[in-house]
Amino acid sequence: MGAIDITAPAAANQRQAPLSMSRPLLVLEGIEKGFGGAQVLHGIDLTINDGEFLTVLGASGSGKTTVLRLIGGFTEPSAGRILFEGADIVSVPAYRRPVNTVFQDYALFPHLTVAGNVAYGLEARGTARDVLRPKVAEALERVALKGFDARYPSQLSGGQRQRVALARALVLEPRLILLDEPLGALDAALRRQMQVFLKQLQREIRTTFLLVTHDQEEAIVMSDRICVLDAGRIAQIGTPHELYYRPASEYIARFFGDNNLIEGRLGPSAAAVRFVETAAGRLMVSTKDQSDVAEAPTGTPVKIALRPEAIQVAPGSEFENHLSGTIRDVTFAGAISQIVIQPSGETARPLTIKLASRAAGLGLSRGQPISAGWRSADCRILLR
Amino acid sequence: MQTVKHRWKDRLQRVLITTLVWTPPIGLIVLPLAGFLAYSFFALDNGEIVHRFTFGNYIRFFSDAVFVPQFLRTCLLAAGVGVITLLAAYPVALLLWSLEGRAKHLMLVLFVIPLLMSYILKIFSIRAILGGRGYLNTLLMAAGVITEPTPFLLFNLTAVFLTLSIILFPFTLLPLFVTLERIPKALIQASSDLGGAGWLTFRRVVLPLSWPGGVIGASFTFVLALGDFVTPQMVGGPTGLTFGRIVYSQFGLAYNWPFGSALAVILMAAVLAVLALAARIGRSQGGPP
Amino acid sequence: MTFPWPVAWALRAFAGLVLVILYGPLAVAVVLSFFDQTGTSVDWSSFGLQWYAKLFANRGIGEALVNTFIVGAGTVVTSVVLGTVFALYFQYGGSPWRGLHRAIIVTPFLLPPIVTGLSLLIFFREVGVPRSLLTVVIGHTLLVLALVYRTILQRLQSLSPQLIEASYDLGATRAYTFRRVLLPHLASAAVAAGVLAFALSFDETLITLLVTGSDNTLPLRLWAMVRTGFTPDMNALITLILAATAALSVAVISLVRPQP
Repeated sequence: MGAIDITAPAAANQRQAPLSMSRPLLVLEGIEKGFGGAQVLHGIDLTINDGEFLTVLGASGSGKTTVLRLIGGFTEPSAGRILFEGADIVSVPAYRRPVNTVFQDYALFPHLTVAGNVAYGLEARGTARDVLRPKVAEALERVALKGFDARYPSQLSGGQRQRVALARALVLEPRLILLDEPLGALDAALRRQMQVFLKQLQREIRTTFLLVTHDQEEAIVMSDRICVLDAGRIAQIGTPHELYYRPASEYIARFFGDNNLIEGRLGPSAAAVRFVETAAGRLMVSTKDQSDVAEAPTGTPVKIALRPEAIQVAPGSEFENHLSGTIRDVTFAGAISQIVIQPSGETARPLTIKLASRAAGLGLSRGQPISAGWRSADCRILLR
Repeated sequence: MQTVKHRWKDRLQRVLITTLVWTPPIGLIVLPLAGFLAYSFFALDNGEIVHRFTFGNYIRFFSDAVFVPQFLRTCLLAAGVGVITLLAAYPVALLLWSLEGRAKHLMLVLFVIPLLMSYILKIFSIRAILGGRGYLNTLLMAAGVITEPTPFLLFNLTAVFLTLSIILFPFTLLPLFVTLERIPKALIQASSDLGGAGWLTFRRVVLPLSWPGGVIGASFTFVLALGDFVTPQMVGGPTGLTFGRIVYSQFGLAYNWPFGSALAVILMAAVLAVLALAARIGRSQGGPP
Repeated sequence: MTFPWPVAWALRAFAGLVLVILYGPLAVAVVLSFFDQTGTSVDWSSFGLQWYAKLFANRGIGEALVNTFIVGAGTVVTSVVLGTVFALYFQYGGSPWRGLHRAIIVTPFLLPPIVTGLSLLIFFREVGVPRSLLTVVIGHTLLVLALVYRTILQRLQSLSPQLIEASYDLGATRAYTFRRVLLPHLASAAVAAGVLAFALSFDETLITLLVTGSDNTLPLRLWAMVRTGFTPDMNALITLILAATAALSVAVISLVRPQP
C-alpha cells in the first residue's frame, strides 16, 4: 500500500507533445435545458478544445452537472446542438458516444472485481480476451493499482475506487473524459495529491478532460481553462490566470481570490486609469483592456475588486493608492497572516489583507494605526 | 431517415412490451374477478347456469334466516382469531426484536417453520390432540381435572377457533416483527437519552410505531380465517359450520355456482372493508403526523 | 432494545408457551411416528421405522409429491419471470398506469384464497380451459406473484441509477446492461423469491382444491387421506414434512433476511 506513489503516474517519458489547443473537439451551441418548468441552463455556448483540461465551475444548482450529463448523453437538451468534431450528437445514445465519465460516487459495479470493472467497457464492445487483458493491466498500472485486479470495490479505499473509475474510463481511450466532482469524497490531503496526479495524467495521455467541480482552488490548480456557471448561465470563461486577475463580474471576484469589494462611483479618467470615489477616498484603478469601464459615464456605481495579497503595509511611493486606518483583527494562519483594517473614512468598509507571516510578525497588533497601499494595476473596476 | 425508422421500431417495441405486461394481470386477474362478479348476478335453472342478470342471489342471502347470522358469526370468529393472535404475537414479537445474533435467527426460524409447515398436517395433528379420545382429554383425565372426555374440544366452533388461532398465529406475528425491526435503533436511544424510562419509551415510541404492523398482521389473519373452508370442515363437525364452508359447498354438493359467487362477493366485500381500514390505520400511523 | 430482566423473562416464558402450543401437536405426532398404538394407548416397546416403511409403500403419496414438484417448479419459473418483467416495467417503463398495474398484481394476495380460487374456477369453465396441473400452476403463480414481484422490485429500487448510466457510458447497450448489471443485482433476490414461491406453492391447499382437475398435489392427497380417517403412517409423514419444512425455513430466512 505505502509503496504506491500516486504523484508520479507511470511517467516513463516526460516528453510532451505540444498541445493542439486550438482545434475544437466538442462545441455546445445555444444549449437550453429545463426540468419540469424549471430552466436549468440558459443558452450555453461552450467550446472544448482538443487536448485541453477544461473545468466547469459552479455552486450547487448552477447547472454544471447538467452540462456534463448532456455531453455524456444521459439527458437531452431542450434546445441547442452538441457538436462533436462538427457532427451533432444530440440523438446519439450514451453508449455510442466517444466520451466516458468518471462518476461522482464512482458507480463501480459492486459485483465485479477491479479488473472486471475496468474490462467492462471493452467486453461490451466485444474485445477479444487476449487484447483485453494487457489493456486492462496497462490501465491499472497507469492509475497505480497494479496487483489490485482481484479485489472488489468494497475492499478498496475511497482514493483507490476513484482510480478504478478513472482506469475504467481510460482503458476505452475516449476522446473526452468527463469527471463529475471526482475528488469530492476524498479528504483534503488526498485531494491535493489526486489533483496533481490527474493533471499529470492528462498531460501525459493528451486526452481532453472536462471536470465539473464547485471547488475553485481545484479548478485553478488543474485547469487550462475554467468556465464559471452561475444560475445556468456562463459567467466567465478563461484561463485560471485571467479569472484570478481579471474577474469580469462581482460573482467571479467573490469566487476567486477572496477579493475585497469596495463600493464607489466612477470619477474622471486619465491615461489607462480611472478614478473611483469611495468612502475611503479617491482611488486610482487601471482600465487596461477594459474599454467598457473607460467609456462608462462618470457617476456610475461600481465595485473595485482588490485581492488581499495585493495590499502592502507601510507602502512606498510607487503605490498609487494609499489609505490609513486601524487594525481590527490579526489572524495567524501558518505561512499567511490575515489582517483586517478599518480605514479611517466614516463609512468605509473594513479591508482584508493577506501578508506573509514573516512580514506580519513585525509587531502588528489590534488597535494599532496602520497605513496600506496598492498599485492601480492590482485592482479592477467591476461594472456588474 | 434512420431516426424515423428508429422511432417506428421503438413504437413497435413499446406496443409489444405493453401488451406483454398487461395481458397476464388483465387476463388472469381482472377478467376472472369480473366474471366471478357477473356470476353472482346469474341464476340457476334446473341445474343449468342461466346467463341472465338478476339480484335473486343477493335477495336470497339477505332474506334467508340462516345466511346473515351465519355470516356475522363467522366474521366474529375471524375477528376473534385476529385479536387473540395479535395479543399473543405482541410479546413474542418484542422478544424476537430484543434478541441478537444467533438467538434471534434461531427463534425466527422456529416461528417461520409453523408458517411453512403443511397446512393439512398441522390441522390434522391439532385434531389428534383435541379429539374426544385425543391426548388433551387423556392428559386432563390423567391429571384429574375431568373425569370423562369432554366433547367441548372437537367438532364445534371452539375447535375451529382454537385451530385457526394456532395455524394463523405466524401470519400476525411476522408483519408485526418486521415493523418492529424497521424502527430505527437511534429512535429508541434518543428516547432513553431524553430520560424516557423503559416503559415510557415502549408506550410513546415502540407501541405507536409498531401497532400498525400488528393491525396489518391481524387483518391478514382475519382475511384468511374468514375465507377458510378446510379447517372448519376438518375440526368443526356439524355445528362448526362457517361461512367459508357454505360458500365452498355451493361449488360442490349444492352445485349452485351463481349463489356461491354471490356469497363469495359478500365475503370479499367484508375482506376489502377490513383491509381498507387496516391500510388506513397503517398509513395514519406510519407517516408523519 | 433491552428489557429489564423481569420483563425479559416474562417474554421468554410467554414465547415458550406459544412455542409449546405451536409445536405440541406436531411433537406428539413425531414421537408417535416411531411406535404402534391402539386408540390412545401406545405400545412403547414397538419403537421402529415400520410406519415410514408403510408410508413409502403408499403410491398415492409418491405420485402426489411428483405433481407437487411439477407445480412448484412451474410456479417458481413463471412467477420469477413475470415478477422480474413486471418489476422492470414498474421501475423503468415510465408508464403512468404502473400504479394500477401494481395494484392488480397484488390483489390475489390480499383476497382470501377462496375468492381467487373461485374466480379462476369460473373463468376456466367459461373460457373452456380444462382443469389440470397447468391451471394449478396459474392459480399458484397469481397467489405468489405479489410477493415475488415485491421482493424483486425492492431490490431493483435499491440499484443506483448511476450504475446503469455507467454501463451505458462504457458503451454497453441496453441488453448488455441488463445481462451484466441488472441480472447479477437481481439474482439473489430472485433466488430468495423463488424459494419463497416454491414453499408457498408446495403447501397451497385452498386454491388448489378449487382449480385442480383429477391430479392431486401433496396437500390434496393429504386432505383425502385425512378425511378417510386416521392411519398411523400419517405421523411418519408429519415427521418427514416437518423436517423438510425446517430445512426450507432456514433457507428462506437466510435468503430473505438482508445481510448485515
